[in-house]
Amino acid sequence: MKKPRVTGSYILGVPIFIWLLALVITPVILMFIMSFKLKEGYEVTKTFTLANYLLFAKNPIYWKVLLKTFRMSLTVSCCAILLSYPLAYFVSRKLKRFKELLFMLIIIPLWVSYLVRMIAWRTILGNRGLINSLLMAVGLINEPLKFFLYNQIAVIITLTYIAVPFVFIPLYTVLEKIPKNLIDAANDLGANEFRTFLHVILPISSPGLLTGFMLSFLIALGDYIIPQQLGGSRGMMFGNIIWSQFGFASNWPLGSVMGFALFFIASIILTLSQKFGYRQGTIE
Amino acid sequence: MEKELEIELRDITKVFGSVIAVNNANIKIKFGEFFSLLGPSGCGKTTTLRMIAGLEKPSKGRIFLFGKDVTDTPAFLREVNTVFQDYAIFPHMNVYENIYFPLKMRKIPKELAHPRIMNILNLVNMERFEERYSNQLSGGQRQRIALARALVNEPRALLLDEPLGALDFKLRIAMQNVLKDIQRRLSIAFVYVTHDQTEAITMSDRIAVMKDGIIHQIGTPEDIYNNPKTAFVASFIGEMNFLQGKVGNISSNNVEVSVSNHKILCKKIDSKIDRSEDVLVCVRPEKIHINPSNKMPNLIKSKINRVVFRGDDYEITTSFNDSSIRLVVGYTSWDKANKVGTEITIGWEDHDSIIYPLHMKDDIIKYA
Amino acid sequence: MYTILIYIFLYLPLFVVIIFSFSPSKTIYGMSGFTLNWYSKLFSDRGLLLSLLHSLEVSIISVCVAIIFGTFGAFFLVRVKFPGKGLFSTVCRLPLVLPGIIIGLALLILFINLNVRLSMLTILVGHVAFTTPVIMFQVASRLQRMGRSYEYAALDLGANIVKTFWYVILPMIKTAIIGGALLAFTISFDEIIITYFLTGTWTTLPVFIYGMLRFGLSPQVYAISSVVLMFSIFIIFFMARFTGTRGEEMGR
Repeated sequence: MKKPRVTGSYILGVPIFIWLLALVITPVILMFIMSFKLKEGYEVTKTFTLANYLLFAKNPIYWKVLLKTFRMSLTVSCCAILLSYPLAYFVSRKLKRFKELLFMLIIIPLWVSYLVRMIAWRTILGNRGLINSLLMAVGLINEPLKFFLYNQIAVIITLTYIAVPFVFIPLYTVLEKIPKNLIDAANDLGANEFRTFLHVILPISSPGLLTGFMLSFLIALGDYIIPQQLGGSRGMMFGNIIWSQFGFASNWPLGSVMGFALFFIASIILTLSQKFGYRQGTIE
Repeated sequence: MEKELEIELRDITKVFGSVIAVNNANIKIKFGEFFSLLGPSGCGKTTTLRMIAGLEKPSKGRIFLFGKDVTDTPAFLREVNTVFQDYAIFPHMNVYENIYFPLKMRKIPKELAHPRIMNILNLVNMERFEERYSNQLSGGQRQRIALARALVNEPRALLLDEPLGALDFKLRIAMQNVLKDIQRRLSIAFVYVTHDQTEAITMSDRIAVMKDGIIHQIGTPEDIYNNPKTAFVASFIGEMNFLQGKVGNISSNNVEVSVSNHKILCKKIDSKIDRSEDVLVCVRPEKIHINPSNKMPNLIKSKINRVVFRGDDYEITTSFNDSSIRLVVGYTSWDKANKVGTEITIGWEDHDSIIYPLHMKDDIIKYA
Repeated sequence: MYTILIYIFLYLPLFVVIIFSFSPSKTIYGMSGFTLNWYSKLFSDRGLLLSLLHSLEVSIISVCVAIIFGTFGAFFLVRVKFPGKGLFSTVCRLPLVLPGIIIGLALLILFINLNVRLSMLTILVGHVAFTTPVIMFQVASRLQRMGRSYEYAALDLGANIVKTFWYVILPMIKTAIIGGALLAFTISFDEIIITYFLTGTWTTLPVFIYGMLRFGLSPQVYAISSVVLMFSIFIIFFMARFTGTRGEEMGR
């Protein structure tokens, strides 16, 4: 049987390669090139220089913020996992009747606007927001407490809120696929519920865990909108710094250096999670 | 409480919603016995096994293991292990770690565990497979690993849920011998679930035949084969001819039943039978002789309808009036001159005809 | 139990927004009544309505373009033999998985280099970048599951390539394309991170709302937010009905 020619030929690849070249490969390369240029006035020079890289490397503020962003992203991911895992475990394994419904209920916030969700948290945490209004109404405080907003915690909470559905989905997918007879076998061979979880469920669900962690980490790593709106100066993240290079300062080359640094970090994380995402003997 | 009883199920009933999966089962399994639960799909045999393992809780009744009431004991504390139908080998552990698992749960340290693991691998002929993962093993190999894993803890009894179902024919036969061999060597009770009656008959010391949650009969293979208590058991085990007729004279030795205007002499049964009652008459194909030389109580002239060559024998279908009977003739005994349409005489002993009440007709398992 | 708390955590903020949209006072300091005032004001806000229109334009057009690129890409990925499929797959996924700021930034630099001013076109290009993989992988996984046997059967029964595609393959991937398109539309409609980088004076709805935040939180913001919320939920249920969702297909 001759292979159908059209559905098997290389011509099919042309559109996607055009897309790849124009929208993915070229921009990244150009960004890389831009990082070596200098901005003078409104023009970008044609020379190549490492000046921006030196600027980036020497300035301690940039590194402090980058590290802080790392820490915060780590925190966000851990919180998101702590919230999502029990949920995913419960919905996928313990529930029979409302499983589909509850699953949808978790997905819905994911597709509700990111902006709206951010606004919601600003509302809750703000000076005239929910928490302060409630506390004042009840009479516990006389003036709004300022510490809820414009700091790291506010950013972390909001980012966790955004990340939870992203972590939930891969976890749920993996947990749902674990066949019941493996649990039976573990019980039969002497493991109680906790030990079954530790030795069987947790290891098998680790690819989902890793995927969720990675998604959540990347979301937090590059975000600039939430830190801008809720972070104040104490909650500033690396995304803010990049943004400001393209906004007010208009120092595109420097921004490209940072952008490329972020790209590099993100790529490493992606590669690592790909490698460790396919463990020997996982349930396919 | 008899000392020899390893496993006992007393008045065990299991209900799922509105379905009675197991209906008032009473089973006593002895030390070192190979005990099979046999029946068609959905008869409750797997549910029964799972209740012994502790993976299901009975709705009613008590379960005893080795003298102790374990009805409320969870699975991980019971001293029995299960070989599952699809093996349930942990995919994220290699063979060695899989077998180590039950020992690890017992907190047995690695140094002590290692020789036991190697021994059991030896027993199932799977040495040198320690590093492999489940997806690198064939069906038969996985089955042996599942067996090894269930045995390494030296359970006092082993439960097996259709372990050979997924294997091809020749491999299945080979594994039956392996299992029987291991069971004899270890001298522990095996509780074996299967829907394959040949398997049950060749391997078991005793069999419980089940249908729709009810145990029809418990007995040795010969017992069940020669004295099936119900029409279902008669039809499920081996091959059986089923005829219908009216009861005629009842004497002290036998019962006369009129089938298609022929009088057939049958074995007496225990339950009460009245004259003129409609009954089922059954006789096994291999008990029927063709053109017998000696005098037989049942002799019928019938016409050959079909001749099927089966390799080691011939299956002949004959009919008289509106009744049809199959019989089996050995290869060397068959006279090729007998073609379709030939009239022959068939005969059998009166104690080879078994009677059942007509209402059992619906229980008969018919395979087209 | 614990799970109930988490559901409350997930939904409470959204309810807060909805409730505050009905507050008559300009500040959110305590609710002193209930009014639909702010909603009616939305309809008279020309800037807002214009940006809403723009959002629809961008999302619809970019999804249409993405369908073309994505479907071809899916066929290429699943049906053609070539080395490095894993790498190809990963690179195609990048606009979805990488932090939006990187994509936005890189595309901005592309436009700087090409001397293109920020406008609808730039936003459109940005959206095509991430909507294409959404559709491509939806269709690809459907193609994978489908297998080639139907194509062979159709050819065996006398259909040529075009007919095979039209009568056999297309109907079977139709739901995957539509499902992917709806998904892509939702993501695109709400997108701000990449869009904000590529916006000049021509704005989409999220960018407009973000601009409103400069003046602080007001019930107007809540009103439009609530509307967007309701719209999103509506789309989700519509999607669920239509495609029969499964978790993996909706997750990125």
